[in-house]
Amino acid sequence: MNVYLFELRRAWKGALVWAAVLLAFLIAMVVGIYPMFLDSRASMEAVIDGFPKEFKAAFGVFMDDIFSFGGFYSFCFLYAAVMGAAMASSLGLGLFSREKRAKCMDFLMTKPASRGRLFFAKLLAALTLLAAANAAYTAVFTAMSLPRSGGAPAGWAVLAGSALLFTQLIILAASVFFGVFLKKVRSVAAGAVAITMAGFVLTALGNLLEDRASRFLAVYGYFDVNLALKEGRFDAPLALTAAAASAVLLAAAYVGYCRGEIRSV
Amino acid sequence: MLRGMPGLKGSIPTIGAVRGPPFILCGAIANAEEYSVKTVLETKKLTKFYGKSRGIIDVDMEIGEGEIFGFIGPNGAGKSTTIRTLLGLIRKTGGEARIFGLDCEKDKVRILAEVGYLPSEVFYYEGMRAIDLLRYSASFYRKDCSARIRELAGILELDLNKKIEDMSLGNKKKVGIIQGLLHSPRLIILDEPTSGLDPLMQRTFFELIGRENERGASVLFSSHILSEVQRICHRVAIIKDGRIISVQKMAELRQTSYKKVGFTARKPLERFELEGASDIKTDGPHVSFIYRGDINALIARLAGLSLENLDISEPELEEIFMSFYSGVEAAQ
Repeated sequence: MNVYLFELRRAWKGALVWAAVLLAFLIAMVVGIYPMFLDSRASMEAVIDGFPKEFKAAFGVFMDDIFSFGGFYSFCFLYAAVMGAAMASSLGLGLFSREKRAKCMDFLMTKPASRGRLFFAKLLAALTLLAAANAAYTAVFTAMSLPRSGGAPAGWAVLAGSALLFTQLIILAASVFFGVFLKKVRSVAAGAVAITMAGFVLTALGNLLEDRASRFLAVYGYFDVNLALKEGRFDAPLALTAAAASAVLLAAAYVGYCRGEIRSV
Repeated sequence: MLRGMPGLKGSIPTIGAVRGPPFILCGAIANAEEYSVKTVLETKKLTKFYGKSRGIIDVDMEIGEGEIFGFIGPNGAGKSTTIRTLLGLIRKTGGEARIFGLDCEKDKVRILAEVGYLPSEVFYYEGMRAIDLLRYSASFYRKDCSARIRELAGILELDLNKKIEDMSLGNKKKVGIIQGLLHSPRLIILDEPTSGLDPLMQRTFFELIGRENERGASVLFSSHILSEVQRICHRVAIIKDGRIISVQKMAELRQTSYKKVGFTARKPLERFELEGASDIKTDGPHVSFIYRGDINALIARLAGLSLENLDISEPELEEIFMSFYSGVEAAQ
């Protein structure tokens, strides 16, 4: 419990800032941009039509549905996912490289606590902060989507809102993995940007290549918010892939954390 | 059941009474005549390789309850590797290591509850005040350590409200000392502990360790500075190239059988040999060496020479240590 509380105290400010940014983005897009987007539909269509097909795919612009609330949010979600990924990777990398960066692995690892306990305390702290941020995000999203999504049940809106959390969990698992296995982490911000951008490049690549298999590359597209709003479900193979990848990354990180050697600094 | 360790069911093996010298702690005399009857720490053939690189090989060591055990050797000899293996920071390649009768890897958590560790260099989290770091450290132990933290800070004259990153190296070390001792551990492991401490604070530190020892704590004191070890230890293990080459009581190491001999002959000597002499240095008529053996044999050998001057004195531990090393190298 002490490690969990310690990590919460050290990380809550950063998480709060990211949560505020995500909420501000969501509100700005749905309340500010979406009505304007609908009002200037004809001119927007002309502009978007002028974009190369590859550009549209890479940046998540899918013309067939972009003027529905689900389609618009689906477009916005790519950028919410990028910000969410930055938050999750900052948390994962920050918490799991904290002692490495401060060169105080000896301090923590010579305390009477098993490494497994330390690992789960840190992970739980990261999950708590993500869950808190997403509770607010999903609540706001649900409240805003209900009057705009053509009578979709509230449960479907909650599911679509929680796509951000599920996407963040994959990134959290990856950043925990890197936090454990990287020998040196000089800057959490730089590492988080690298992980986030790697996710974006994979997603753009997955969207560009049109075959079904390539969709598994699109990390930020594993949880289709438009599908959730329309049918109350996610694409099962993609969701299962996300869950399996997260589990494998976390299991590997756990083993590495518990069995790793702490060399002198 | 071990004293002070609720829940520990391992028994402490007995190694028999070890008679140690009374030792002087900067003026404070600690009575250590009968300092140990039980084994607190034991290694058997403890071996650690980093890939193909040698760490330690077949290290055998026993530390009795209430004993201050020195561990000396040059940098890279394997002192820190031994300590890190004992603390479960690195995994042994072979052999056995037990503390309080418990396995250092399997029972690490139970062991660490009663072990205090001070590394040679101390690093802590950024942005924390000393008091916050110490409270966090204390939160791992099932006891209230706040009074002890205040007591130790008073002894070491440390301002607990200062941020650690703003502290001098010496003050950071003091934070390390307090965090290593705040839970009144039964075994204190010190890895080159005095680096960064000024002489006055070193004295205070040794007094503190002496008090902990009087309280009943055993100490593993690793250093490459022999005078430190000489100052407080009952026994000492000498490690070289990853192997323990000797374990001796401090009194034995300094006993009169060791002599530092220097003489000036009337005529230059090409070479000088004597059984029991080591670290022989010849410079024309001047000869010096460390001698261990029958004093009559030494006198008989010197009587055969025509001397201008002769000096026989007690060697420093450093010189005995170097003699050890050169002797082992010659044997190899």
